[in-house]
Amino acid sequence: MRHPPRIACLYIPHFVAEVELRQSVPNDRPLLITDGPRVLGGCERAAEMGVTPGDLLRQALARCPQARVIQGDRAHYQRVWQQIVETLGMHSPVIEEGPWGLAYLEAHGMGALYGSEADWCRAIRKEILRETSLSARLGVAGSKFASMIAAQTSPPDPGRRIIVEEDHAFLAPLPTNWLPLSVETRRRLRLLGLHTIGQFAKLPANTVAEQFGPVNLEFHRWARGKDERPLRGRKCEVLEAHAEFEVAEAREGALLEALLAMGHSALQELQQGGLAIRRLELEARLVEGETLQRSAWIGATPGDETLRLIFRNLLHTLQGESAGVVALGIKFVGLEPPSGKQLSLFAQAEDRTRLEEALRRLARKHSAECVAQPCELRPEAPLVAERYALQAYRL
Amino acid sequence: MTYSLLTIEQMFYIMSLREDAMSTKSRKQLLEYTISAIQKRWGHQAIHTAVEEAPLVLSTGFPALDRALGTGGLPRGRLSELIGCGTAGQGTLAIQAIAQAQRVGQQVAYVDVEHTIDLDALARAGVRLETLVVLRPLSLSHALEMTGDLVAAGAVGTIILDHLHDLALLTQSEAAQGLDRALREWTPQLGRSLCTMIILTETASPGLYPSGLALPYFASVRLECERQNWLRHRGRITGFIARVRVLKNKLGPSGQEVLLKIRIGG
Amino acid sequence: MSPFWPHGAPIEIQAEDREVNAPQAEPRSFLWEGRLHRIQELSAHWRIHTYWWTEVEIWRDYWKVVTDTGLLCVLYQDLTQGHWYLERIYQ
Repeated sequence: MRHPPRIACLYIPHFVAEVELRQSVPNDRPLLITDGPRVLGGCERAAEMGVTPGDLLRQALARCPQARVIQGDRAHYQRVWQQIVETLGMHSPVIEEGPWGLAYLEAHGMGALYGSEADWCRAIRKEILRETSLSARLGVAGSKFASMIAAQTSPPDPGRRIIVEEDHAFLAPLPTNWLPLSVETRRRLRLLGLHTIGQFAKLPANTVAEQFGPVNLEFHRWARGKDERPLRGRKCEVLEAHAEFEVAEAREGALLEALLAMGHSALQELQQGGLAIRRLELEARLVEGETLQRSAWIGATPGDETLRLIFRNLLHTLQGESAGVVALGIKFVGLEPPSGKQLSLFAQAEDRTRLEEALRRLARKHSAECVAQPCELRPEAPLVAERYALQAYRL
Repeated sequence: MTYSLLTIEQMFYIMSLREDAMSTKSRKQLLEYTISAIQKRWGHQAIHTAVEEAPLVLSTGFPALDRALGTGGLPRGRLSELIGCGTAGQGTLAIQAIAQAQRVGQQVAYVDVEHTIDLDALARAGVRLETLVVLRPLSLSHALEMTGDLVAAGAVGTIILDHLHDLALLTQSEAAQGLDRALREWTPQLGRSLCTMIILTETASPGLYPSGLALPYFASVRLECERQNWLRHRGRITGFIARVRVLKNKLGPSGQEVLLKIRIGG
Repeated sequence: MSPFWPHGAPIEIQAEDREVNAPQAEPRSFLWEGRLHRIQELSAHWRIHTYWWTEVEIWRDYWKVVTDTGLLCVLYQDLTQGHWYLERIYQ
């Protein structure tokens, strides 16, 4: 049985400018970021003056002559955005990335997991702020469109808006500007005295098709709270390793060697598996009973020396916190490859060979049909029997 | 947060990954040298073998049950039995054990005695089907033989044997002797390879487990599942509460009971 | 595990006041592997009709039921022939 959808939208307004402002000296002037002749992003003040990303720089400067203009660093913005997406992946099973500053998350069941949807949103915002110093807004509703509007209309504090009523009831009083209608369609709606989404939603579908063209039927459904676009997300793979010390260890050298021993070979296997490692998390349980967590954004799979440096830097942040560590845990956060198929995080070469030899012996001794493996047919098929099947194990 | 111990065996495994071409003997020597070098440089406390102090476990996927078992999960290298009658939760426990085993990088083999494996339920629970091995024996004695071959090979981390039923008939048949012999052979082999074996048994009614079977003796952990209430949403059944009783636990406390919420999908 | 029969395990059904093999007959009890299972609750009912354009038309009435023997299971009636099957038992 299908559950009613719950989707959250994460929105960071003026993402590029916010990233730049976090790392620059405060300045009174509005900020524009360029990418060649065009505007890549602008701060809130620039947006209020009518500057939008994609504008030609000279047009933007005409609207906002006092602006400070800096050259953008796309690679850096992408890294920060990926860091945010990874963080979201720790709080939801499905993440759909939009353009920088916009993402959708599966929200079903998250309220129960975290206590409430508000608690869930709070946890996500807190972690993004900690990781990137960026303030995010979240909207939760029954569809992508409504959740996006909820996020964009949420107040900066608490930075979330959770829609509990039906989406169409929430959307009804909002102006039609929120819908991605063409300029001409908006003009015609104004001429007809239709200013709100609710008024547009009340029109019969055939009237919408006749008056505004069939292309607007989908937006008409959105207005009625019937945005049925599914989340198209990817899942995050995580690899963990742990170690315990019989006697609490405070020496950085010993802790470093233990971390390297745990992480080094696993990292090699991950590299061979073609997975990208974006983030490394360290968890240390102290002899006092407290557990400390630290993380480092890597951005790319590190080499040996980089890994040593990362671990050393993470351990430095623990100095002075405790009389010793009794347990260490590391977590590598990786992404699925673009094909969407999950690969085994642990390509256990030797174990795999041993297994295949054992299965070969079984197939020879008993019969090839007795050793099988599942395969995916049509996971969304209405008939359960058509979703997956067993086939003879490929040896 | 649960922690697993880094034993010599696991260190050996981690070090061995780097040296695929090396022989077993030279990998062992490399491991011993490495441990000795670390201890020489940073003292004996830098690295420990702690395997004798606490058992290796496989999380059940239900934190309350892991806590009730006292050790954090089902013991690796040993046999566990999940008992239930009808819709009781034992199947869900087994599915979660598979998912947990795969999460920690183990290879899992599923012995489908009755040819009733529910691949859809496994997929919905997050089991990675493409790495699951499924054995389809022709009879119970065939199942015991195939399982024995797999255990002897020491090539998988977790084996699920699904399931034994008609236990009263089983005690009176030759298959009981076969099971007895098989369990006797498997027990030391499981210990050597640290393979977790989980056997599902179906009773005719709750609490009715016939005497005369060797399985209760050889199992280190025995969990009995019984459905309590249905969970409903708008009148429709969406799951149930299962009471899981720890009937036997060689490595921790027994007699504990936990209530688990089991959701039904599809 | 949750037993699943991809091709259905044949059962004998007793329906309510109607000819057993007629469409939309609500099951009241069924006989499976020599044991009678009385249905205490009909939790859900749905129909699948597909492949009608081929020779292997699938036209089935599905029932999710609770039995007095402690099963939550899915039965279906093949409406092209009237026979009943057990598809899965939730565990």
